[in-house]
Amino acid sequence: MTPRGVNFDPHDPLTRALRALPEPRAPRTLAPRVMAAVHARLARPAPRTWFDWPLGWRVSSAVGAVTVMVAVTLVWPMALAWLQPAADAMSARVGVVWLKVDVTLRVAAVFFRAVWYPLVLPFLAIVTVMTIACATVGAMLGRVALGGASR
Amino acid sequence: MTDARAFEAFLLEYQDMVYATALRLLGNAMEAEDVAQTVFMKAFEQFDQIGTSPSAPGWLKTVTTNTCLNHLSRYRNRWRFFSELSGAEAKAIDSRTGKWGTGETQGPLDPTPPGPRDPDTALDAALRRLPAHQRVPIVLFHFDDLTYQQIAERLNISVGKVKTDIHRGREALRAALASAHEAGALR
Repeated sequence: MTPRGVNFDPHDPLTRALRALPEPRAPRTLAPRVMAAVHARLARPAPRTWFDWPLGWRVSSAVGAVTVMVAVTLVWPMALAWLQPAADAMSARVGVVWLKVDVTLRVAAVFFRAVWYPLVLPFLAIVTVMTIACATVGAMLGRVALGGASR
Repeated sequence: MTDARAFEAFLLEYQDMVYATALRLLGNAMEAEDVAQTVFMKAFEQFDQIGTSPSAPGWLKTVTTNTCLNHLSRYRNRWRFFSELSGAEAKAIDSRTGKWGTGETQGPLDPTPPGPRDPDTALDAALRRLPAHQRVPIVLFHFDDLTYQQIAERLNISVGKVKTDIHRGREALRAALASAHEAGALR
């Protein structure tokens, strides 16, 4: 059969010869090779989901999960009440520390704006350019070494 | 669980068709066998659906063709990369050997190659020796009955290139066929 919209003379010797070519037969090694791979695949245990578990395991795991959730829900308010005094004491100490941290941060900010800020933009530009260059080289190497993404 | 015996019967029924498709597209027996195994393992994974389906042969043919084209595209990507670096536009890789060749300037096929004198065998061998960029369109055209447009879409190239490659490939095959006939007449 001639493909649609294409005019090759069906009586052309080459066309006739191509159409008359016998179909190559699969080598004898192919079927044993495939079946060996199939048996190897069957020998591997298939991954099991929760729905494949025995009924007893499924019920036990569901009951366990509900128990944990209920326990957490009930225990949480008690835990909060127990932790509250300790949290208050801690926040008083943290307040003093926070004041020192705040002063330190303000000093650091002034230092940053005055000294480091003029250097940051050029530094970021260099890092960006180097990153793009590395990514480009990596992509080119990957395309050569790994043959690119398959369709 | 898939029945291995049922799958073996399925495999024996279709192995020639899958292997022939792969061999004609790739031009290399070992690569064709590898691709055939890959295709049948994919079929095994979906054997519950396609095992008894009347569309199984079509599914196998499509998957085989796609797997072969993916296999060849890896070589094509390398070829494009190196041709961009070297500036050579007409290089082609022979997927059979993995060696570089210049598809445009160097004849892809020696018109009087050594080897079998029987015209069928000579033509088959000549088809396998064609560079991939000529062999694949010819196989899709003559054996899968795809149009130029469909081939161009499958290979992601222009229709003009498809026509050129098929024409040049056919000329090389014609020369090989004539040579085989000539050798047969002389004997």
